[in-house]
Amino acid sequence: MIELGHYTLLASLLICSWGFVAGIIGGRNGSLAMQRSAVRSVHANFFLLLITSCSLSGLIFTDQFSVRYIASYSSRNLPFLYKLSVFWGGQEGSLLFWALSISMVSFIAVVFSKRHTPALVSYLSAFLLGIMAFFALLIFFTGNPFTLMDRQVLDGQGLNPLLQNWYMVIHPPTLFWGFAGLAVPFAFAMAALADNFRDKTWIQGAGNWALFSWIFLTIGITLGGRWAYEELGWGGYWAWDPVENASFLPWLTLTAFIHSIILWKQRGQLKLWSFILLVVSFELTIFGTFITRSGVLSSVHAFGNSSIGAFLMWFMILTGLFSLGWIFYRYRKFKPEARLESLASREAVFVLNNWILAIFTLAVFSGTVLPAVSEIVTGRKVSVDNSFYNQVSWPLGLTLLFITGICTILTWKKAYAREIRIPLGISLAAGLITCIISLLYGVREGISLAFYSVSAFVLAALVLKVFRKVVSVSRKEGINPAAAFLRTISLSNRLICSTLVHAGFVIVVVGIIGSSLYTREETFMVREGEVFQMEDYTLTFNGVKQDHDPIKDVVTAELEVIRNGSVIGLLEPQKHFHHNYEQPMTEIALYQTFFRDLYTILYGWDGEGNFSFRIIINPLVRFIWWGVALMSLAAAWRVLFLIFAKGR
Amino acid sequence: MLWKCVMKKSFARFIIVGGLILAGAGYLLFSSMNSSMVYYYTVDEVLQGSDDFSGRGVRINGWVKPGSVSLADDGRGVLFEAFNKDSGSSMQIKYSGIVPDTFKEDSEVVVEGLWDRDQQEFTASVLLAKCPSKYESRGDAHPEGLSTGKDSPAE
Repeated sequence: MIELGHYTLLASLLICSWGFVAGIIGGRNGSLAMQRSAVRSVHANFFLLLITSCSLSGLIFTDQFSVRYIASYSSRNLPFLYKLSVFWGGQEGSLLFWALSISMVSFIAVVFSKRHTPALVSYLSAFLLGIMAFFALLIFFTGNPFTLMDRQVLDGQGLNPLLQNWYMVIHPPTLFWGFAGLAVPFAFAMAALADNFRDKTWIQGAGNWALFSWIFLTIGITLGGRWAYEELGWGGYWAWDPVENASFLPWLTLTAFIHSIILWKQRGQLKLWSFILLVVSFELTIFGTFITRSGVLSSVHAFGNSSIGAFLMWFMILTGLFSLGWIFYRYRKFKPEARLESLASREAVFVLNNWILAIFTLAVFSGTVLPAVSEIVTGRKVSVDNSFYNQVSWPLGLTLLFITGICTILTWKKAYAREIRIPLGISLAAGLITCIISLLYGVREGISLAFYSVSAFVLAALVLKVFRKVVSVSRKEGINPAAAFLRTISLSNRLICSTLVHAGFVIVVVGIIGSSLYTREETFMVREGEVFQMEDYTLTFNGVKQDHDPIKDVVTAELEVIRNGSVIGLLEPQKHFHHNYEQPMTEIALYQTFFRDLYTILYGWDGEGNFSFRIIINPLVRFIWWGVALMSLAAAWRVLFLIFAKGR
Repeated sequence: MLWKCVMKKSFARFIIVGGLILAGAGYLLFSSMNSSMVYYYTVDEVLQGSDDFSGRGVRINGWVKPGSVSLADDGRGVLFEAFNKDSGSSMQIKYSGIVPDTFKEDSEVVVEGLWDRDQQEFTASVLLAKCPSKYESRGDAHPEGLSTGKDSPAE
């Protein structure tokens, strides 16, 4: 199986190189044979990498510790589920998984490419294969997971316990599909350039795949946050760690692109800008890997130094220079077809949205690279702490939220006061009422007042827009409101999906504000049997129990939780001591309700029977998970609609 | 190319709006960055007091001195000494946040916070433990636990 893995990897490198050449030739001279060959190379490459991956998985599941990768990341006693995540638990495997993901999305992209001309598909295949050739090279020369050990070992070192978590089984693949998915719109854009924009359908392809990638990035980032929340045990879900930022950056630029491409489609504007956004988004996915693998920045996710950093940096520089240079060389192709008619138009708000997202990207990027840059420039490392990101995020986030509502109310081209008066008035009233209610309930912080009022404003604007659409359908077709609502859902997919995505965004914002401004935490030092009070929760410490299993020792503390006189549950925060690892692991215990989470940590103990607990109350955290679920489901609905209802 | 899509009539307005946004963004970025800067120093640099550290975020890289870690009296956080492996000098650190699982004696740590010269104590608001193993395992050493957990907890 080791040989199988090796040779399929080598075959993949050859096929990608050939397909790249064939695709370019096929696109240029229209040779059908070459075009077909390029598309088949994409098919073949996917199946080859699938075989490579199956051999690696097979080796992992059969405990072949003669392979260095498996000896370093797996062990005999590792549970079945986590052996799955050994595949992407280390650097070499995660690169292979990334390559597999790109080959998979490329395969799907060419299968669903019937609406495009063969020349465009040929170029598309070429650029995708070009990217995959780079990955094959990278795996082959810097991180081959099939490398053998130079000595015999009986058992592997095991997977880091922090990664032995359900979220770590699904978080990396989701994020990788998001990153891999971004290669497709990038390749579409480059293919359109090569094709001289003869086939206008590239824009649908790029738009759909941008949305696909966005869905997976959104879910992937959130799952990472969820993992941090439940596994890292510090009470939060986002720490502005360089690697978190690295996944957030392409999300920001991709979000900007999804909006700017609408302007291109609708009005023929922001063309050059959209292309630049796409190139930047693609480069940022590589940048994320560069950060984690090069050791340039210290981060909890760092894999340690390796030569891979130089490879990735050169790939970034070369593809970036090449694509940007090409775009500027052909800049005449990006001439806008229409002018911005008024600042009070949806177009203007889209431009503003893009600016803010670009500023946000710039801010997060500069904060992330500051330690590396300052060391080179001044000789002393300087970094920014989280207060930088928080200070930058709230004004930008608030503006973004506000213009979401404004954009919903405004019309294309030029909005006239008589058209927008009523929805604007009602939405503003909703915001004002929320502000007053919040004040009455004792909210005094300016930031949360602003955010909650604007959230209500946006939600009202969104609901009103759907409502007005339903009313107009009902009048026009003479049907009752319920039937008109169903008709709107089936006919105005874009309206419904975008409304739901933005409503999800508002819910996420509400959750973020609640959980970052109103978190309360307290540390208690107690002895067995002692009772302590955290706000309206009464906790009783019933002592600890110790368990042993072949891989770890577990210390479990029992906390009985009482609220309003009734027992609501037994929380069991733990500490795990894995035999293979020096670090103990903190396992938090969580009691979740609609509005807040009771988050308990077994902090430590001394030898005299004193136990230290940290209890945190996190309000509205669940809103984040729900909001993200709504955003991604609605976006997925849109993608599926575009693919299946509008034809491949 | 953006300027071409703007009507001449509204060009001035566009420039003003754009300029305001950029100026606001620039101000936001720089003011936030200035107030949240954290400077990297070594243990020795801080102890010698070659710079004025008062009221300014400092980030120190050092090693946790073996035997120096203790749970704070009130159970809130840990006290330990960070020392420089080359010169041997060490400084007292107080940290009351949540100790990361990777924190242990004789391992590399990064602390961020404020240095109190009179008390000769560093109050850390951020503690990052740089375990050399990171996401990779370190052989089969038996866990020592949180340094305070040498004794069995159940006794």
